[in-house]
Amino acid sequence: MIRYVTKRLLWMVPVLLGVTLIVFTLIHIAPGDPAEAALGFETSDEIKAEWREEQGLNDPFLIQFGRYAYRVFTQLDFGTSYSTRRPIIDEIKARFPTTVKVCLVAVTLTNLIGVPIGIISAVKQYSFTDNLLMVLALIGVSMPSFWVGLMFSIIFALHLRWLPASGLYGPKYYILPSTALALVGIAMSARMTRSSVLDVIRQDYITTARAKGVAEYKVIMKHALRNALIPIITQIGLSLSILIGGAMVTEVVFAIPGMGTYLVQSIRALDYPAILGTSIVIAFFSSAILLLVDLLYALVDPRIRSQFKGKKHLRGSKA
Amino acid sequence: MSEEKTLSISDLVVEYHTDHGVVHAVNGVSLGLEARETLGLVGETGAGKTTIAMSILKILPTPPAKIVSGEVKFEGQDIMKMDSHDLRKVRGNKISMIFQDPMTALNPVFTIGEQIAEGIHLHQNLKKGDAEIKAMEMLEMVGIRRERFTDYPHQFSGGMKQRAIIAIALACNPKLLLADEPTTALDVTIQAQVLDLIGELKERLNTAMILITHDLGVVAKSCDKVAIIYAGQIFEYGTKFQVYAETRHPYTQGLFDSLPSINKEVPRLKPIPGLMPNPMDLPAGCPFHPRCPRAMAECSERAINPTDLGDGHWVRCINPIN
Ligand SMILES: Nc1ncnc2c1ncn2[C@@H]1O[C@H](COP(=O)(O)OP(=O)(O)O)[C@@H](O)[C@H]1O
Ligand SMILES: [Mg+2]
Repeated sequence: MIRYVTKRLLWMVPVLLGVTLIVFTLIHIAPGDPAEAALGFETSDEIKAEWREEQGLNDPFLIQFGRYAYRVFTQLDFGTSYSTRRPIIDEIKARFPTTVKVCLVAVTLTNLIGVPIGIISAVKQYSFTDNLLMVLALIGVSMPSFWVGLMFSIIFALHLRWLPASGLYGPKYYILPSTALALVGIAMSARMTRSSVLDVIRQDYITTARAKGVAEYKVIMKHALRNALIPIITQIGLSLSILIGGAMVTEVVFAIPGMGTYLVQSIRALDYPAILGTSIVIAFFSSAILLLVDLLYALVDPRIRSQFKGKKHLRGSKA
Repeated sequence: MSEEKTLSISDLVVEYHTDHGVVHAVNGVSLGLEARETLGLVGETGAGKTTIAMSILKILPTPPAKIVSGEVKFEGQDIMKMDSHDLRKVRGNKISMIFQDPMTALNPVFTIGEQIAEGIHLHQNLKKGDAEIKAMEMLEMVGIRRERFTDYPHQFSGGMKQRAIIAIALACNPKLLLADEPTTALDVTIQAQVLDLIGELKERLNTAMILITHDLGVVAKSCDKVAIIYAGQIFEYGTKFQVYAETRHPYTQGLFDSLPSINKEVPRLKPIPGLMPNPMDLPAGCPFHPRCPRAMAECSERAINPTDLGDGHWVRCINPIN
């Protein structure tokens, strides 16, 4: 188990290096002069040139990349922001918890609502309820979350004036962005749960459970769901990765001071260290979530658990 | 039919309504079973054997299955008319089932022990701990060490899985055991062991049994009565002696002729020519007539009713042997 986790954590290094390289390349291809963005366009050319030299922007691409990657991966040093002159790590620390909170609320909503909808749909397959829920889910997955966000702020903030449209100053500020963000996830999770529950309730062991005299709700909630959970967990992991992407955009729509807003600001300001730092941190947490999902499998599925434990059990199984 | 019969099925008709058409799986089956008796239900794949067994527990998947008509009386009570609460008290308690494929019949995410204890806990008013102790005893009864109680199904071999399923089925001393081809999916080497185990435990627990099989040799060894089923109809029904020694139905005869025999000098098997009809599109009259060596014009013209030959021997044929 520990060996497996260590192995997976080590695998994240090449993944993150790859992400860094891609972002680094994109930044260098993109037009614009960071010196001008950082110092203002009325600054003299000499000062700008001096600043570029100081930041190492005149060095060959690979040298720049190597130097950056070395600092990040050995010293966790993300450099300082061009625009605020503060360490990137502090800027991220100030914003990261906000994004996490918005995402957590959204994920909780997604699964608290999506999974039960999927179960109901599967148990009542082809009924009116099932058809209705699945049409709604289809509409749900087809709406991009930034658009839902805009619609939500127009309807609930602008017209109805029930909820605030921007900022993040208290619990009720979370409602609109998190719901907008969760809507796609709810729809996806409902569809996924439905199909995996349908798949499982056709299995022989479900008939065995019924033949034992187990009550129908327990057949579903205990025997079926525990098995259906395996694909559902995959889906939760996937939806989280998509959600993080959606959160970036939704934050901008609702003017939430999180990682997404920061990333967009940094791109506008050509603040290279900020863009890189934000991207790497997001990539790290996305991979960490995927690892967590794989570990959750082990919790749910004893077949995978015994793989983690090693070969010991395989020998015993042929008795 | 007398009240003390453990099971009596009359005129059971079951269909599967699929996108491609209606499958006529069971077409008017009547059967009786006394306490402690073993009935062999013999027929080819697709004859409707599993459908009958699942009807008795009312665990057919609906849809697509539809019980069109018929009565299934267990100890005098019609199972078809029971509500879900009463049904649950019968399932796994009074009537249990052993399934054909042990590889898929156990839930992969629960331990063997949990799966045996579940039924005991449900039906016997025992606390979780006591149910677990009883489950361990059941495990030993089917010849598995109690330390394997906390193992998961994937840690068991096919034969051990089937033993565990037998333990689940017998844990509450059922009055009736439905064994649906319990050894078909197992290695030949352990088939006899598992059959012997079922036979022995059935005797010990005074359980009546319907043993579903397509193996006439198995029936000869362990059954009192035999029912031969074809395309959802019972073709011949009687004691083992009647069906084996006084065979009347041409299909039954065909089954015997297709058996490899070590006693006979003739090494060649005579399989019945042709195939079982498609249950979505059964021929008119006797469903066997296109393959039957004794078929007459009338066989394809009208539905054939069973004839009582006396002493409980029935045959569904208008031109029986002899
Ligand atoms: N769930 C189902 N949907 C549609 N047809 C089915 C289903 N289950 C069984 N059948 C059909 O019903 C007939 C009887 O099947 P079954 O009772 O399983 O036969 P047996 O157990 O004798 O092999 C077969 O033709 C089979 O294809
Ligand atoms: Mg079958």
